[in-house]
Amino acid sequence: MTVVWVAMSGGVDSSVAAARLVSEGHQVTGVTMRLLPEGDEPGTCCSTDAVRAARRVCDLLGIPHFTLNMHEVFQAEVIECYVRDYAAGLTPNPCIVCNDRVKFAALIARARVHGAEALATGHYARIHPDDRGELWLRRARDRTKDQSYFLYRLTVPAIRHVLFPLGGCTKDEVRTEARKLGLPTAERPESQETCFVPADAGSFVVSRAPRAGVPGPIVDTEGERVGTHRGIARYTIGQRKGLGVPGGPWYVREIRTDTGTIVVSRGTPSPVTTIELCDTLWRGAENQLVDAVVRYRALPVPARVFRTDTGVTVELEHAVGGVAPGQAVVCYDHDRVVGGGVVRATR
Amino acid sequence: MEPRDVYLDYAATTPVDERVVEAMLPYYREIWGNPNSLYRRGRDAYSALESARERVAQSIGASHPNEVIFTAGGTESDNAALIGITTRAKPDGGHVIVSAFEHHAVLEPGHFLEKSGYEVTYLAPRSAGYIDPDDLRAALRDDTVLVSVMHGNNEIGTLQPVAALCEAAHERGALFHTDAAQTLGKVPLDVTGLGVDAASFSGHKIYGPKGSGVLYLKRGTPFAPMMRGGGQESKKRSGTQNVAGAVGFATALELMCAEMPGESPRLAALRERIVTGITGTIENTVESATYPERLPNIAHLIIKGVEGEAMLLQLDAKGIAVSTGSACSSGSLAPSHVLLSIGCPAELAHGSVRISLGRFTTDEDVEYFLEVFPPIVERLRSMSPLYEKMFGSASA
Repeated sequence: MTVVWVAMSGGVDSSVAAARLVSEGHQVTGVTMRLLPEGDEPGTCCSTDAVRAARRVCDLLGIPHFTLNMHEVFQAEVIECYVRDYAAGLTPNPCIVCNDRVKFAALIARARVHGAEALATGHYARIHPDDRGELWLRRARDRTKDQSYFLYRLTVPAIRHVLFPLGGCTKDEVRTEARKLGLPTAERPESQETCFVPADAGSFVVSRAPRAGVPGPIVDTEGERVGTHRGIARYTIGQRKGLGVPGGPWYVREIRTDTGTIVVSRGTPSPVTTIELCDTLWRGAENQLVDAVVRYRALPVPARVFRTDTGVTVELEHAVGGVAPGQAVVCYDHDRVVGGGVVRATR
Repeated sequence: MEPRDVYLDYAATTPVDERVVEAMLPYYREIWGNPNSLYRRGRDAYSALESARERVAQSIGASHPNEVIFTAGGTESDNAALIGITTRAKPDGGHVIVSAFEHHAVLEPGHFLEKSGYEVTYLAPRSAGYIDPDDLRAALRDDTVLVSVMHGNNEIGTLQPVAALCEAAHERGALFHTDAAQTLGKVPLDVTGLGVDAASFSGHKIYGPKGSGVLYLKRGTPFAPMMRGGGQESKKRSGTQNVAGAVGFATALELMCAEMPGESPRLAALRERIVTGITGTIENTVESATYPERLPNIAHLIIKGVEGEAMLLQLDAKGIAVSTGSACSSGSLAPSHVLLSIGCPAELAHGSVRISLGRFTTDEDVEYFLEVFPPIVERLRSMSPLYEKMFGSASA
């Protein structure tokens, strides 16, 4: 028996994760993080409704539940980083940052202080030991739901205190189990969007970084002005729609934050074969052959990885499109996550 | 004749059913924790509260338990709905429609909104005793925020075409609230099917405890809470919840729903016996509203030329409890606003009597009433200069 905290969002996945741990005989406590300050955005994972749903599930499972106010760390580590990156012309992935800095850092620390040996979540991913007993993050059995991409920053010290009870099953199995247990969260819809960002990400960023909302020139690669943009926060590298530049098709090639200029190019973005990563985590070997995933749910591309002075360079076996600075690239050795990092530059 | 104790005022309130009392007692004796506390004692109370919420949601057809907000009664639910929805949906003023024969728990919040800068239309019912959807359509405006029409009238017992009225309101973008305190558990009711955005319910009309009520608030309905504080009930109604009351409400409601298939026809037959028994034997008596859709348990009669208060006191002396109109306004000498609204002249409105039946009403009770009542009317009429003026002498 282990003393376990389960991070509960009020959704079906974390509910079933908790139920499984209870039935396995662990001493389980449900916790729901309040990530946003008061003001109830329906649908977000820490809304009043979500907290109530989580609490009711714990009640039905006969385990305690409490709410942790973590909006300060979330604001500092996730929202501010997101706004800063967006305003800098990057394409950030806040879910990865949240897992890295909030769930598997701040929350795990709280759990440890309270005497819990492990923190469980409803993520679809697995943790398995290798021959030498070292623990590795691995893809979920249900490849269509696999969330290991978002979890690649899980550190070696943290991983020993993490449980993913759903790593071996499918979403359908999870829903069936929830219905069988009569959990009120069985039919809750999946959350898809970034939890703290409303539909219009650009306006969200502009409201917090007004400079990124100042209109400015759109120029072509020759430096010729071809249009006016509505603030750089409203554009991402590779974007093709909504540019309002005649004579296209155009795409966003570069965002120059120093001058507030957006550089567009005709045609479609040229695919890239070399990706330089910064802020890397690497557990693999030198020159290791891996499968690189450049976006959540992107098809893995065979690649070789080299360590450099500033990080890691990924040489893809064939060129792919849609790789923007700020995105994460995650490298797999078969099912096992061997490392990854944030895209700094591509060629 | 043996004097009896006959309660025929179930529309005013009901006794708490013994089964409801039994269900509530543990939440006074053993499980008295605060449902918002995190430790076991609190969690046990929370379990009971949330289970009560789910049972109520199921019984009224809510699509989610969180649409059920426990309140301290029908009046609170009405106030919260009228003021909470209107002021949140249109903080800077707008138009509200309430039917003219609503309970005061709706009319008074209407007056309050009027004083706060909203325009309020008091929509007149047709003389048969119902609000016509066409009349509502004519009253709706582009800036109408909220329409409130009761599900069943508490005095004359007529049911309102709420589904059609609600549809008319929604067509013009207005929200719809219904006060269903009088109909809950007596006629089939499904808030989702009716399409209403909010509905008010009361525990003490269904053999549950006084001081217990429910506000149904459909998901996404704009709402500013009246009770602010610790944020209980999804921040919609702060205050430590009345766990025993919620359990009592849920238990009472389930009993009502379970027994409705047998109870409704039984009461409807008794009601019919009273209506025909009075109007068929006492001259110049008439049912106050002719609309055929009605509650099975309320008979409302106009006894021409007699003061309602006088009948009430004479019946009380014989051990029979009835009322003239709604119990809440029986302290007032003004004629019932409900009767006036359906076009009943003030002098007739004074001579009305409401007989409302319930779970513990027996055939014998009804027969006793029918035996006792006619001589009382005859005696009062013989002393009434009003009756003589209207119809000549009492014996004529």
